Amino acid sequence: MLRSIAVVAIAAVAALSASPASAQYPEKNIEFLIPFGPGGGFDRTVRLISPYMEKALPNRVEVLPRNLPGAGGRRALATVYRAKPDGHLISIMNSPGAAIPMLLGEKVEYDLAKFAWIAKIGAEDYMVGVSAKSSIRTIDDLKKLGRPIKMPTTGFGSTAYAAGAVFAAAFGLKAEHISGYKGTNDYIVGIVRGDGDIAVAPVSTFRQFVESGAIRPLMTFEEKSSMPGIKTVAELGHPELSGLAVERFIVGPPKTPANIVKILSDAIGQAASNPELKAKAEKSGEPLDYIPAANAKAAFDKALAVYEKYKSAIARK
Amino acid sequence: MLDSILLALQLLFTAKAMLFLALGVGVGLLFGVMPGLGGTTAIALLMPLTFSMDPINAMMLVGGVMGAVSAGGSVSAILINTPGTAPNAATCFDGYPLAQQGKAGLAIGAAQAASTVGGFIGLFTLIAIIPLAKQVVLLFGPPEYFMLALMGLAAIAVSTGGQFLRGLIAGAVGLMLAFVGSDAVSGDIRYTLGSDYLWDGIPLVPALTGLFAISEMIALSATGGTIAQEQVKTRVTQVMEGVWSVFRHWKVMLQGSVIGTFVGAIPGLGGTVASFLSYTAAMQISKEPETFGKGNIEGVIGPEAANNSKDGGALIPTLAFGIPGSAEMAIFLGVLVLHGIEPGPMLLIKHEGVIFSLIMALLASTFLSAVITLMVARQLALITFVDVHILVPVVISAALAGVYALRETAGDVMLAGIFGILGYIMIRFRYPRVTLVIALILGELAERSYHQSLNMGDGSAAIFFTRTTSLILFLATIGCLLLPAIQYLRNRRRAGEPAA
Repeated sequence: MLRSIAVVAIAAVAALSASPASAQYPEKNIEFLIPFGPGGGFDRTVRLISPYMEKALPNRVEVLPRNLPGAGGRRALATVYRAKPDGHLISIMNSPGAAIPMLLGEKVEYDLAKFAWIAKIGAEDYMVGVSAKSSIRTIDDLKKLGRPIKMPTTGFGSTAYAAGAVFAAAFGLKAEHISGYKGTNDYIVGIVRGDGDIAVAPVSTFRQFVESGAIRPLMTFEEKSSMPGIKTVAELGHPELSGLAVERFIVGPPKTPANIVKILSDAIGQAASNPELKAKAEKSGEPLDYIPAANAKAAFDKALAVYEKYKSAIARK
Repeated sequence: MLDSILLALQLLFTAKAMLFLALGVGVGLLFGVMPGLGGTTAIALLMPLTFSMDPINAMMLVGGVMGAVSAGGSVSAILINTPGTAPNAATCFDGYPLAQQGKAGLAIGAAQAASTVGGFIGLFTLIAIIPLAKQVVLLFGPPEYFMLALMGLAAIAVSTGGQFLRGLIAGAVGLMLAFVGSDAVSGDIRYTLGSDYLWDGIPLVPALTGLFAISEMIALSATGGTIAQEQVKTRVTQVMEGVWSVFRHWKVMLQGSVIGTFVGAIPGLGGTVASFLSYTAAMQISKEPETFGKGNIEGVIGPEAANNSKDGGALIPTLAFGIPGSAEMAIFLGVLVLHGIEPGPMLLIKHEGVIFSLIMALLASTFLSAVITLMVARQLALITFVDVHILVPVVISAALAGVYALRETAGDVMLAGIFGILGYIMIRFRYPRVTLVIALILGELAERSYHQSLNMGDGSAAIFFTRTTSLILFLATIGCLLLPAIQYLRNRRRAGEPAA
């Protein structure tokens, strides 16, 4: 009796473990998690790309975006980390946001190295700006202030906070964060209002403020400046910070079979090169920037190395 | 600007736009009535649908939803003491007692009329203020936010419903609950009982559902019978009387609309704070504050005027700088982005037409949703004559399902249950729930803006008093606190005179 149960159990386990490797993937709808509430950049990217991913997948299934906000984005990642590695649950990931807790020595429920890295899909480069009414015109002016610079930003431990801290540390500036603003537009308006001196925020959000004459750009972290007359960080002597950005990666549960990762990665790649989607993404102000599975983890590690280097600046004071 | 308004009006009356508007209103009403689900969820779900539409039609759909949710939500608040959406929670206080007295029709009529008029006032204020929107937003920085939060917290003192000490205790509990979760400034995790569920703080919708719906259902099953205690035959009348009552109590209606517009314009506050503050303000100007909570129609008019006028207010920072004034606005911005319209200071300059079609859609939706609700009010109100043994399980499961659907977390359901028990204990021992809710919502803003202000002012609290706007708000707060004391003294003197 016991023996027959054991046989059945072994057979069941074998059947189960065999199924992910089957050629039929995807067998059912794919859930695409967004670790934040609706309305932001990560949400937009997933919602834009999902219908095109559907078209590019081998079987007719749906790709369903699902917002799973919570614990600063960690809830969705922990959910994927624990999910069955069959490719039917994936998530977009904020870099370096997902890694900051570890840099700060906090315990998280996932190990970034163990995720199945499916692709990188986009990035928003940072820039530095001041209010147009400010007397600060160059980065050197910041050094000459003779007091710590005040930097409105989102909460401690956020990507914007980290980017600001890295900027200040690299340029040898003493920074005082005024943290707790709810979003990027909020803290940019903070410097327009005079709550602080400078803001470090994505170029895409800054652009309209520059256009409307409220903000004066000082420097951009882009590799090639998209703002006329504004120097890049490399030109100002810090090439290692070139490309400092919020990046969007797509990950699946650890131990997802390589063939499934490839199917997903290819589908995302195909979607990203679809002219219709390209036009839509361009119009939404953030062109897609696709890197396939093979190089995704390396791209993440490269970005992370910068933050590693300035770990002490990001940490609690 | 006038051209855009006329053009938007023209667009509104095309068949396609009307169709999307009607669809939006329908979805909005439905999501409004369902406890837990609200405008945010509805717009998020409809977002993919707007992909293939042109932006104007998308605005009709979104505007239709936004204008209708609170109309739907007021119905559940009145009939079964379950706020359909968080901003309807304050309507429970007097709407539900009215339903218990068999006057559900009156309450629904008043709620709908107040919503419509409030919505109109909010939007007309918005249209008037649009040219100055940027300056208005720039007037309010962290020190001003702190003063506003303080003002709201001060309102606790006047909203204790005659139970001063109990009111303060409930307020203190609310404040303590507000500090659960990660500190918005330092990122420190506090009072989470070791679980990451509480990292983002006490979620508002499950908490309100528990405090109002679940607690009342517990109380109901203890007593039995039906919600309407006086079996006024099986007829629901007075709907039109309710509509007219709004104009008879125009002061409360106007005050509620102004509070709604103002609070709506402050990012991070939104409709729930607006309606609660409007409720306490209505109590404050009333000659018979002791009748609040026992079925005073003004307690329905105030919050309902506020929770619809807040949309106009919330659009001010949203349109001026792309800062969402409320949760719905955050998703609305997401819809704009999907249509290639980047929110920010250029929004109004580049896309005036789209924005005005949203405003027109909101105006139309506010009116349309009220008309629809009024038409079915009599049928809806029959629910108060259903035996509680049938009603209680249905309401509890619907409420908990709504709570679960919102974020798909079992923790939310448990939290709603815990707050349900807390709410029942508060009802039993006559602790006012309004003070707890106000403190719970305002605590986070007060703490965050206090820290930010100190950082701005190099650690000195002088910053609160050296800025004109902040100082004015501080003096206004002192005034609000002194008002009841002055009234009390004056009343006593007057009462004392004949005897003397």
